Amino acid sequence: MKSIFPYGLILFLLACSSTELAPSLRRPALSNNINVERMLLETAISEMMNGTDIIVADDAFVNSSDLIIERRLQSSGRDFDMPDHFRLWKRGESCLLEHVESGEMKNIEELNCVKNTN
Amino acid sequence: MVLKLVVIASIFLFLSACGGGGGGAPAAIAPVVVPPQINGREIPDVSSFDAASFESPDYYEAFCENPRSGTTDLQGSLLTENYWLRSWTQLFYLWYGEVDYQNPELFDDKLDYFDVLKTNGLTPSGAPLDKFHFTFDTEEWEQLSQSGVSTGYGMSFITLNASLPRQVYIRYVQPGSPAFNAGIRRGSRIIEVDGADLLNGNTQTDFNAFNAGLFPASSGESHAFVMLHPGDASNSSFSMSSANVVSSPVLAQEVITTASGKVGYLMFNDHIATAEEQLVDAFTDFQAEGLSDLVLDLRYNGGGFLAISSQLAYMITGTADTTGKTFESQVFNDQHQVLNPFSGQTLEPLPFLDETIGFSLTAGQALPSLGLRKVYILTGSGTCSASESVINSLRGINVEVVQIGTTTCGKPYGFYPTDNCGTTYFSIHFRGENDIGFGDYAAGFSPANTNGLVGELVTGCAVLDDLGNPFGDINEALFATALQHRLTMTCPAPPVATIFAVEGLSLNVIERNNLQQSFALDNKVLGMPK
Repeated sequence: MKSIFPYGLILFLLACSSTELAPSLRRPALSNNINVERMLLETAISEMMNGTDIIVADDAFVNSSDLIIERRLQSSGRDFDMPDHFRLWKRGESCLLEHVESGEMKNIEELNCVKNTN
Repeated sequence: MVLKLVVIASIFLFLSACGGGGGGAPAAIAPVVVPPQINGREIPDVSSFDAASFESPDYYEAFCENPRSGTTDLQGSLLTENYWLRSWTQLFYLWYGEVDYQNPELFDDKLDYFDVLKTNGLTPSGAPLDKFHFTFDTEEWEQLSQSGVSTGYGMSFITLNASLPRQVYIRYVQPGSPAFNAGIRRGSRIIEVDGADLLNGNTQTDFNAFNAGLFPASSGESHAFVMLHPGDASNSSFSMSSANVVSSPVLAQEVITTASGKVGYLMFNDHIATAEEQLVDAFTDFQAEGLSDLVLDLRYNGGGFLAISSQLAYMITGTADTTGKTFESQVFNDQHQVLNPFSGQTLEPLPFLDETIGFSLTAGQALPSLGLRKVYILTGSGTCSASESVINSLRGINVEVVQIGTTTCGKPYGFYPTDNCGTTYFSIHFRGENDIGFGDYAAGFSPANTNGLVGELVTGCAVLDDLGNPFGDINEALFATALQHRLTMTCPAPPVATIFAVEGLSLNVIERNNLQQSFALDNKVLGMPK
């Protein structure tokens, strides 16, 4: 009997490679899209942070796959909280945002991502 | 009320029926009152004031005059909110025994009531003991940002004189920011904003222009400025567009080579999350350089994450001086001597942290350290809270601190900001004490030769901020004095009052009040003179 195992293994590996999760960078946007892309990120992060109002820099995730989020008013002088961390991933053609502390992932369809090779 | 009576009557009938089967005289039965409830919570009884009675703040919590939709708020009243404030203060406020707990019914504004729920005590120098009692709208307080990002131009300015003619100068700019790209630098003076005269303009129209131009609400706003840059003979006119600017907590770093060894200079402005990585990078460089001394510039650092202060103090000294020692202990009021009343955890002192803890670097990495037993710290009234902890903690383990500059803000205290009904209240909850139990510097730390009202005296020299020279320049007044003191143990003549030196000129102005320095909201709204 001819085993189908090798074919199954190949299909499995192909499937894995197409869904591989890799740290990602936001593709540098065209200048007229900077605000749009930034707002996409702000909206996505806000939704993962209970709808809290949030701002990020124009170049958020352009040079790093990681982003740190903390209170905008910075401090009450002596703070004990820890900040939140977000990481950008690429899987296939999808751009995924992870809230590191909770493990929650969110697909940002309109965002353009490339694998982080740094 | 009707419901209440029915419930009482029903219970009475039920209990009477039960007692009737035993024969003989019925036992005396007290009526049972079931208080009215909403969503399973008892509606607080605020019908009469008993000055000696304090319910738990939980009893009144979230019973709001104006409940917020989408929250756990319940319909209450101004009075339930005032009662919550009274109970919350009595349970958590550091000086709860010194508060005059007035009748909540006498206040028709909860913020007015909050204002009186504090001590009126004074420091030995006569200053108010509690200078940090305030509120924020909760929605504003909870806003988030990418670490270090704020909307603006990337310039920090200071109002040296709020009366006319106003004197508003730039303290520093962030590299790569719109302000930096526009040529603005330390010591630049703002003359006009969107055509409004910042020196003498005093109409509502002027103030509207100042606020709109200096504090843009969003990125991409364009505003016109006239400024006078240091060394220029005439004003410069230009426009700037606001952006979401990333600030760098470590703003400057230098190594000066002298005949008696290398001296490191580090300007550290903000205890935000990205500071962990930037400080580690800086101290790794310093360690490789083999410094003989360090000048740490905290003059504009209003504090932040206390753990970063602990890491910083460790990196200055190292294992030998810090092992087993306390960086800072939290001391709450005497009702909370075992557990932190907000976290519920056993009170444990914060040690000197010798590794990263995951702010901006992977947790668990060993920190570099310089092994110094002496450090020069440059200060001003903006040196506050977690920054003052660096000074206090090092003094607590006998590492010599030489203070150059002016008196620090005097905030050995901390809060656990607490929301109720959409207002977040800041009331002092604990004092921070060092390894030898010292935390009594409500009047700040002052260089030993300071004139006038002073705080806790520290070896060093009183020197005014110098807006005329860049940070880390050996001619900048504070850094120059540190270098002088290092060689000769001497100080220049102290200033007679708190004034600034700008481009060689002494201005007769009062240094900014920094009651809420740590919020970076100073100057945020320029109000009409009253």
